[in-house]
Amino acid sequence: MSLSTRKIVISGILGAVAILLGVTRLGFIPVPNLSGNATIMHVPAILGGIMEGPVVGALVGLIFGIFSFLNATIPLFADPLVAVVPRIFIGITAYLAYTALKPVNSYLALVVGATVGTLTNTVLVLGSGILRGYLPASVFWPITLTNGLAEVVIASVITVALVAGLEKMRKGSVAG
Amino acid sequence: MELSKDITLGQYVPRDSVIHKLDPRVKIILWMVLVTALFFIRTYTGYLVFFIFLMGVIHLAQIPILYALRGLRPAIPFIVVLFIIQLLFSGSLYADSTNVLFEWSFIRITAEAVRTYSLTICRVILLFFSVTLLTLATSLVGLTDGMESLMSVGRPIGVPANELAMVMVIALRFVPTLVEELERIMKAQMARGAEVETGNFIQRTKQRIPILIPLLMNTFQRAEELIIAMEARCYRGGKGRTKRKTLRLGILDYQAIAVTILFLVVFFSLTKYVIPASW
Repeated sequence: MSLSTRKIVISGILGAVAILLGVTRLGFIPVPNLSGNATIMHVPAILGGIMEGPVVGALVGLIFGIFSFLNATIPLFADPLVAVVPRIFIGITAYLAYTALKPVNSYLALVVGATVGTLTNTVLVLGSGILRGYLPASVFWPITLTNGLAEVVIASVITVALVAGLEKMRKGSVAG
Repeated sequence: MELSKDITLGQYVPRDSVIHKLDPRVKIILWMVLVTALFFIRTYTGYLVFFIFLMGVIHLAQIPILYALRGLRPAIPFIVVLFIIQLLFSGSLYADSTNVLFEWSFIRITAEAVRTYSLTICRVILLFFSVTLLTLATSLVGLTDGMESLMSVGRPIGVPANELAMVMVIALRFVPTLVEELERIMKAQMARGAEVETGNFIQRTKQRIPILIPLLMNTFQRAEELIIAMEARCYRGGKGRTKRKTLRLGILDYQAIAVTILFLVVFFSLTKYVIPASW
C-alpha cells in the first residue's frame, strides 16, 4: 500500500478536525439520556471517506480512535478494541454507501453515506463494548435509538452542507 | 472566549523521571504486555497486586498518585450506573445459580453475577490506569515516533509506517492552528449575532453548523496548500528518510523490560500456586 501526498495531508488535517472537535467540546451536543452527549467527532471520518475514498476515511477514523483512546475519560475507551478498531470502519462504510448510491442521486448518496457512517460508529462501538463485557446488552437499543438517531440527523446535515459548499468552491463560484 | 488557553492535547506531564526517559517503543510494548496480562486475572487479590504495581510505576514517573487517580473521577457515575444495569439484567444469564442474594419480579441478583461484574469493573479501572500511565509519561510526539518505529517492522510487507506517522504528525501539528481558526470563526459569527451554547438540543445543533462549515471549508483550503507545498519540496514518503533523533535502547530500557518480566513471572506464579482462586 502506498499513500499519495494528497491522501496523507487530507487524512492528517481531517484527523486534526476530529481531535479539535473533541478538545474544544464542540463535537459534543448535550442530549438528555444515559450517556449525556451525542457526538459529531466521527463526521470528519465520514467526510474523508466520501470525498477522498476509503483509505482516507479509514485513516481519519484511526486518528479519531487513537485520540479517544489516549484521552479516555470513560474507562470503556481505555480498551483499544473498543476505542480504535470500530472507528476505522466509519469512513469505509460511508464511502461504500456513498459510491453505491451516487449514480441514483448525489444528495441522497450523501445523506445515506453520512447515516451509514454514523451508525457504523454507534453500532460497532456499542457492540464491541458489549462483546468485551463492559456494557450490558440491554443498553444497545436505547442508546442506538436516542444518540444514534440524533447523530444521524446532525451528520447528514453537516455532510450535505459541506460537500455542496466544497463543490461550489472548487468550481470557483464562491471565494474560499 | 479564549479556546486556545484551555486546550491540552493528551495528558502528558513533563518530568525528569526514569519512566519518562524510557524509549517510547519499550513503553508501548511493555504496556501492551501488561494490558494482555490484565485479561488473564480472575481474582480480586490479583487486581489489587496489579494496582499496587501500577501505582509504583506512577510513583517512579514522579507523578502524584492522587493526580493520576483524579482522572477516574468523571468516570465514576458511568461505572456505577453500568454496574447496576448489569446486575439488574443478569438474571437470565445465571438462571441455574442457587446462590441468590436478592429476588424480585424479573430482577434476580446472584452471588456469581456480583463477582463477575465487580471483577469486570476492576479490570476496566486497571485498564484505564494503564492507559493513563502511558499517556502521562510519554509525549504524543514520543508515542508517534515509537509507533512509527514499531510499524516499520512491517515495511517489507507493505506497511507504510513513515506515511502513517506523517498523517499523525500533521494531525497534531494542525490542532493549534485550527483552534485559532475556530476562535476567529466563532467570534465572527457572534459579532453577526449568532448564539453559541444556548437553547435546547435542536437549537444547539443548529448553532454548530455556521461554525463547522466555514471551519471545514478553510481546512480543505489549507490542505490543498500543504499538498502543493510538500510536493514542491519533493516529499515522497519514507523512502531513504533519516531522523534527527534516532531511537536507541539504553540500559534503562533493558532494566525496565527485566523488571516487568520479573513482575509478571512472580505475579502469575503467585496467582497460580499461592492465592486461592476465590479471593
